[in-house]
Amino acid sequence: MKKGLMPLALPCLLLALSLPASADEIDDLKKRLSELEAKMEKSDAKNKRKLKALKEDIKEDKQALRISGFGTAGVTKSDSAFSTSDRDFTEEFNYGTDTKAGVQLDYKIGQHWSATVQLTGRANNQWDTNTEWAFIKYKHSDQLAFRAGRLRLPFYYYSESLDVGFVYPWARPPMPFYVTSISNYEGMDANYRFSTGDITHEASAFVGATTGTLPNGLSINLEDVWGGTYQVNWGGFGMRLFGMNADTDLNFGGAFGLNAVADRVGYYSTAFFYNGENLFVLIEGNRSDTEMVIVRTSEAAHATAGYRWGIWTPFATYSYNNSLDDGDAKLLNGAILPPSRLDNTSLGLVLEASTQVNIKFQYDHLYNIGDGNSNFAGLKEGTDVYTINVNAIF
Amino acid sequence: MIKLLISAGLISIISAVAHADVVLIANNNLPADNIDKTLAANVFLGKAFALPDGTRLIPLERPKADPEKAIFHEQVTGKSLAQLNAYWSRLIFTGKNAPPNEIDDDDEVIELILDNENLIGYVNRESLSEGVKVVLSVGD
Repeated sequence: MKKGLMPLALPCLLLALSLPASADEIDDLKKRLSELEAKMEKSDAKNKRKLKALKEDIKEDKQALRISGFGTAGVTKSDSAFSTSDRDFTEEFNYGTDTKAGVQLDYKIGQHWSATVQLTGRANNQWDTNTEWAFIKYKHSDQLAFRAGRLRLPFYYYSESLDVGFVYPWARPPMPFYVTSISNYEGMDANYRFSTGDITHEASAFVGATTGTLPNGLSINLEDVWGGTYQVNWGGFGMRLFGMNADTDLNFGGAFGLNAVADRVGYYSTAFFYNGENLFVLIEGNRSDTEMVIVRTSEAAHATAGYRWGIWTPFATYSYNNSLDDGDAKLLNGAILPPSRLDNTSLGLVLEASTQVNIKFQYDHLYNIGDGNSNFAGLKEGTDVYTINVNAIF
Repeated sequence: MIKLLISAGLISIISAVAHADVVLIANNNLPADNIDKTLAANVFLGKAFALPDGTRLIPLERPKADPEKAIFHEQVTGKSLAQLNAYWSRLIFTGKNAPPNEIDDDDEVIELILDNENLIGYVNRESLSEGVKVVLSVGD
């Protein structure tokens, strides 16, 4: 505005302000203002929609490859040294016992097909990476899917996710129960989910074959493996059943004057669980049946209960494993294989550090081992194990 | 004065939290007007997939930073965000299932639902607009 106009403009403005505007005029102005606002909002929404469409495009691409990971860093101390098929417990602080990391790649190929690879490295194993999972999946619908490749045997409730410390309630799953020399198989499975009213069901069937090494060094072959799982949930209550049958070959390689022994072996397990607002309970039992020399029919069970108290969750577990004194004594060159037993009580505490990280503390007492247990080399009666670990997912 | 400002701030924070009144919504054309809590929980946990009449239901999840997510899951699935993560991690790392797609905000959820009659999602009640209906009042 030019300086010369200023003296004129001011009185004009004052005049305009002091003019009594009619109510109609004000209403009209208000109307025009709100119309303008609506117009702006509309174009805003339009822009947003465009933005959203773009976002969706990006999302679709992003979701084609999904990378997830998990890890556990921990320290363990035992008052006497012993080892299992995949872990060493020492009298010194041992940072390698549980420390591990895994990464999973899921690659979606179109609407139905996807490929998944999961690699896991363990400190106890010099960080050699293992391919725990590698499969192609055909998702027929939300309810029905088929997979083929390297999968994990679904023995127990947490068997397939035993590497992911973040997901299970313990710092260390009950040792007499969660002990298997074999975790993977090559084969295929089918998974079907459905619901009846408020009850949800999940059933799976699998076939395949696998090989492994027993803690005593014998190699074991499972062929013609077939089995299935069924899980039912109602509110916080649930039950899971597992059954599997396999042609089992034990290769003695000449030891004990034997080369190979073969038999059909059956494995069965049951789980009952309750997940309430704060209280949770998990009770599992399993049994293996065989007529084979050297491998005894055995049974195991555990009961775990915990209570969520804000970010703290104390829990307690009792578990045992017992190889049964079969009626027909198992003879091996005249020697009878002694029956074995192991009991384990655990007390622990979980601290929820964030929605993706938890810190767990656990005390384990191992007892009733009698003459020893082939799955726990060097284990002494009344051994105590202390564990602290940090578990994360991303 | 400072005390007054702080208490005013606190009151506004408290009322903001209290106002996150979360509702589960669906397209007006969905055959059902109500979805019970158990079914909603099962759909958001990937265990159920349809209304009793067979109409397919597809859940829209939210990012973890959204306050609506914590409220919805606490009230409906009974899981804290950490428990929810543990639940999905067990399924992701066993290759069995993956969590629903995460949608960034209320407006996007509504726009997607307007576009697809099988979608359900949760939003703040204040964001409700025409074309969608509340099928479950979650609360705050």
